[in-house]
Amino acid sequence: MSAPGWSFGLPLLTKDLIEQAAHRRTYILRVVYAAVLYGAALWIYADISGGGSQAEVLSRGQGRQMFLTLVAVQLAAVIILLPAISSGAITSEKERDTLGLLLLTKLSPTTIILEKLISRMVTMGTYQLLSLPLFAVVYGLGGVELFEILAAIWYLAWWSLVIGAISIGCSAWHRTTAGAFISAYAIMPLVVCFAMSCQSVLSPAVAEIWRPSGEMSTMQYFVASLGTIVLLLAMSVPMLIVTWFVVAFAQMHLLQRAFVPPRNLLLEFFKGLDKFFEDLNNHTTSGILLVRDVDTGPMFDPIAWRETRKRSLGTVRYLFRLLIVLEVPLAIAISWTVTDHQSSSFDGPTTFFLCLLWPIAALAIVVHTTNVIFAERSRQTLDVLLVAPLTARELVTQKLAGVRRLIAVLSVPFLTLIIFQATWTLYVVRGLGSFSRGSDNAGVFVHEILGMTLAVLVYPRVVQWLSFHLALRVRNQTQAVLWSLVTIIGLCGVPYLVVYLVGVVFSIDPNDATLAWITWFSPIRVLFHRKIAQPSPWSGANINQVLQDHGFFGLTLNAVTWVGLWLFLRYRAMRDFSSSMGRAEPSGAE
Amino acid sequence: MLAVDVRDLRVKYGRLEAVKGITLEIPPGEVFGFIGPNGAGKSSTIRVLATLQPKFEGRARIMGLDIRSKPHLVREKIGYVPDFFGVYEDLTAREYLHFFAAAYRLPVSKRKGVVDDVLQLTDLTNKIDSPVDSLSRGMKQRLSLARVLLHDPAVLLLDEPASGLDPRARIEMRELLKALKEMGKTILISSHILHELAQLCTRIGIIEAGRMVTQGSVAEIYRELGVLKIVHVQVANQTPELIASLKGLAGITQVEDQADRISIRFEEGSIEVEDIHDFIHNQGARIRMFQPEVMDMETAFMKLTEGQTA
Repeated sequence: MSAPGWSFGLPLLTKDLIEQAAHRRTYILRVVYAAVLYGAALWIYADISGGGSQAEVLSRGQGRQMFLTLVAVQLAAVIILLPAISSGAITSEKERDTLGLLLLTKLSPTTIILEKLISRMVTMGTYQLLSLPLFAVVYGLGGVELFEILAAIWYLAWWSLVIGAISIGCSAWHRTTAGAFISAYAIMPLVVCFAMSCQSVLSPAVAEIWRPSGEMSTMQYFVASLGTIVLLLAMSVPMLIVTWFVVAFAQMHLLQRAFVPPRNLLLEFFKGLDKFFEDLNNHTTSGILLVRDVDTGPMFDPIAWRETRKRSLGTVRYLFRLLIVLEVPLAIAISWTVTDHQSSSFDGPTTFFLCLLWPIAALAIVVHTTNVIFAERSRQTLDVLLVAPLTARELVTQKLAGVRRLIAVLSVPFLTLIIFQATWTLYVVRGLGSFSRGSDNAGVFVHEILGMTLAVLVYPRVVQWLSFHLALRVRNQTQAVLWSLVTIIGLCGVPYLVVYLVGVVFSIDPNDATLAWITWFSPIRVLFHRKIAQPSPWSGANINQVLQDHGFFGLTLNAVTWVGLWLFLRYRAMRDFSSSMGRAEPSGAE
Repeated sequence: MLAVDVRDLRVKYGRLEAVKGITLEIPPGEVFGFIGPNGAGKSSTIRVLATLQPKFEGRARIMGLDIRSKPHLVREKIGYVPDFFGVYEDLTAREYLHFFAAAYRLPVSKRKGVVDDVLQLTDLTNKIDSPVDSLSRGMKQRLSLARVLLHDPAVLLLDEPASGLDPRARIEMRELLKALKEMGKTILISSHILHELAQLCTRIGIIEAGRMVTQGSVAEIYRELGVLKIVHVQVANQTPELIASLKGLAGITQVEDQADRISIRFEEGSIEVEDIHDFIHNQGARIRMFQPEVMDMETAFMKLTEGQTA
């Protein structure tokens, strides 16, 4: 009998690649990404060509703008897509109870981590390969050195590795994909800041080497190239350190945390706070309670009771704390704007806060809503709930009780911000406070109120029903969260994309009123319309012109579209709930 | 009126036909055991009856209510225990039962009494304020049974309730099911533990590859198959004469003198087990063990099925 001998193989990598290749979404995402990338390139090309001939365009050497846009799109794809692709790499094994089996094989934790990481890198690499023909076009257009293109590819590859490693590290640590996904996005900015600050020390040196100083001799070119390579390698060191540290962390915790039970860290944190405050109260007031927290138990709406009493983001006390966490920085941002007389309410910290709060709010609603379904599925409690004599409408309405509370809490900072902006615009920036006949302030005020209503009342509910709808249809929470976010981004961005594409095809200025009205379909236009329509309302103060052009029309268009979408999604979710869950509903047949 | 009335039931998952025309009639108060290998179609049939499989062909009724047209009324009549626990681990046993009492719309004034009753029945009273995740598997399964008893359903649909339980928990579960049987509940129970079903069920149905191979009382199935029943006996003062006299007893087919016991085989209906016991006792033997063989149910099962799935 011959000895088995040494053999090399990457079974986990092979399995993961086969699995990913078998998913339809892999190809859909790839096509969507290619469409975005090539759409962006087409847009830039149309912008720089300015209707000139091909020879003229080539002679101008204007490839830099397209180059920078492509790199930005690629980087955005790495930051947005890679955590989504990688966060489930190990948690999915935990959720399927297959990690234990993997650990029993001869695959070491390091091998498992690396094969998982490589499988995600390969997938991301296929996305980045799509841009190679465009980089060739960029080089052809001129204005970009070959080394810059190679440096960009090098740079993107490193960022992919760092972000992929962070996501795998989170996946090794967490029990659920949703937890890993959120942690990856939370940790990423910190690591990115660290790596970028390290790089910022080195990058001026690269710029110095390639500063144009007339024609370079062959020797100068060689030295500059060598210097750039050395500096690029040096710039990669912080990334290498981060990657090594995260992979080591993942490898260390893979076994330790392979069988940890699911934990609600936020709930544990809040319970810890409860204990702290209780101890504090006992020490300071000998335990005097002004309001006693009474739980009457599940009296009439049991599912709503559980969603609001037993989930971390559902209870009033915890939501109040969340509100404080959101309101305090907002109050600081408003104070800053008020004291800084050089800025309007639409510049500076408040707009930054709004830009930050919307994605956070959308993500919180999406995760919480999708979890409503997938928590029942993972606990295998869905069937016992479905056989209870409750109607589909009751089940859905009660299941979303906690999400409704979350939306109500998130509405408070939005309202604070929007009321501040409206007041500031009317009374301070415009210096007007009357609604007298002939004054357009009343119109502006109504405009603000309508926009505020849409933002607070309608958009969060569309996000809620959209993610609920998708949670009914897909197999796991990560997919539901991803599809929800992609759809929301799509709904916000498609009107702008349509405007620019139509503008490019028919040579119409995208800011022209014949096209610009289309952007009112997007919530971005409503939330930031003054910023978009009027870069400096402080100085120009011709917001009325914007309103006269298509302000009320635009808002009405937006309101009809989004309220319609809200009601449609709500109707479909109620109607399709039972069939999606496999629950029989009364039919006419006897 | 039949408690469970299934006619020519067919369930398809895409191209796979999991249930191929099953017919079942279970009168009220009967305990019907559903036996079959994995993938035979037991769970699919039970899910249809639990209103969790809306796409099916044929007719299915619970207490005269058609599942297709009145699933909301059927849900009031059934108690469904799936083949997994289905318990909220972030609740205590009390909260869990009150949760479902509210979901089944029990009057608020009656809930505490009902919850106490079902906890007592399932022997979980001392665990009332324990978090569900701290309960053992057996306790969780009993809690599931307590849940389905809250609204006092006429029909219990139990999908492998003893699956994964240790011997003690299985015995406790069996005793609990016996108590429910005495309360007059109609029970449809699927299981792989054949001898437990044989002891508990008034009738059994053997299903394979989506088809009902046979159904009837345990005795009828033995008779139909010509399967010999077996009794294992240990006596303190075993003699060759005892063996010889047993061989001569009318109705006995075979007597085997094994190292630690005597195995007596006989045809169903030819002699009663009690008569064999009396005969041995009358021979002056001191009986240390007298165990009617339950594993012959497995022989019947193996004889009837070929291990096929749908």
